[in-house]
Amino acid sequence: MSGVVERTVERLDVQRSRLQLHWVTVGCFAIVIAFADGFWLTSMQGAVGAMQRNQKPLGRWLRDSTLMLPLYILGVVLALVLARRLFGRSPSRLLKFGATALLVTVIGSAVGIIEVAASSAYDYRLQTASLEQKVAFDHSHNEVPPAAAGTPAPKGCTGLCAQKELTLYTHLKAVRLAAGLLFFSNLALVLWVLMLRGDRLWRSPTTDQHDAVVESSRAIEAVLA
Amino acid sequence: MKGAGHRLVVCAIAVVALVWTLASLVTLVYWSGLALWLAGAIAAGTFAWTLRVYLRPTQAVPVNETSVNRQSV
Repeated sequence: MSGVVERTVERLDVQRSRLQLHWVTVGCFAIVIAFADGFWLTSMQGAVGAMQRNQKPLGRWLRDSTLMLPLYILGVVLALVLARRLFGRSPSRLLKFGATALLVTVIGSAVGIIEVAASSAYDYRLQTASLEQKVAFDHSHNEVPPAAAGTPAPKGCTGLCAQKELTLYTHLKAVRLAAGLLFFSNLALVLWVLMLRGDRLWRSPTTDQHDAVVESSRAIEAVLA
Repeated sequence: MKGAGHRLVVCAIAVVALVWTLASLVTLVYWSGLALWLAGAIAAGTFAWTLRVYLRPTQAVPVNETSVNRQSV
């Protein structure tokens, strides 16, 4: 058992050092993006979400953002590794950092959009279940207007069906709006973090090699002594 | 060789990270429903398979080589 643990620990260490990333920078990117996206998620949920999920917004924002943090960390790691592989050897500093910023923004926003879409899907399920219950108990709910002003009227769809269509339309519109907001806010935040920690994105492999050489030379000296 | 303390710390961090990641994934799946993720996985798999099949490099036979073979026959 301890052998397995030891092998796993060694493998983790090797993987961590092979990635050659500054983990504080990864954490900064992930925390900033996760909490900014969590803010938009909480705002969207407050605007179009289900009544059953209503909670205090601050607590909800903190809980959801903290919960989703590992996914943002994975996203940022993926973006930084991809950026180093694709543009790491580029002589142009602008291209290197611009591409890194764009990759971190795109992947971070993709994670955020998935989170927002999943939350919206849950809200939609709760809202449609609530509508079905209402209609089951009160038949007068079948006489609802097919569509509100400014929304497309679904053809051949009235009553409960129209209400479901409208709910779906509202959620799709909210997700579309949130996607744009997420992208631009993430871009601004990523550029800000990049300004602060742009010189500490990737570890130089020569540093690790130098450390290894120093360590091995110390070991040789100890053996000779 | 690293000590038991280092091993313990790495194990603890790895377990916390794993549980935390699983919790976030399970939350996403719970929110959206498993069917949506299955459909997404099937769509992504199909897309990847299509790309792999249609972007596979074809091994073209050079014209000169065929003519040489004919001559030799």
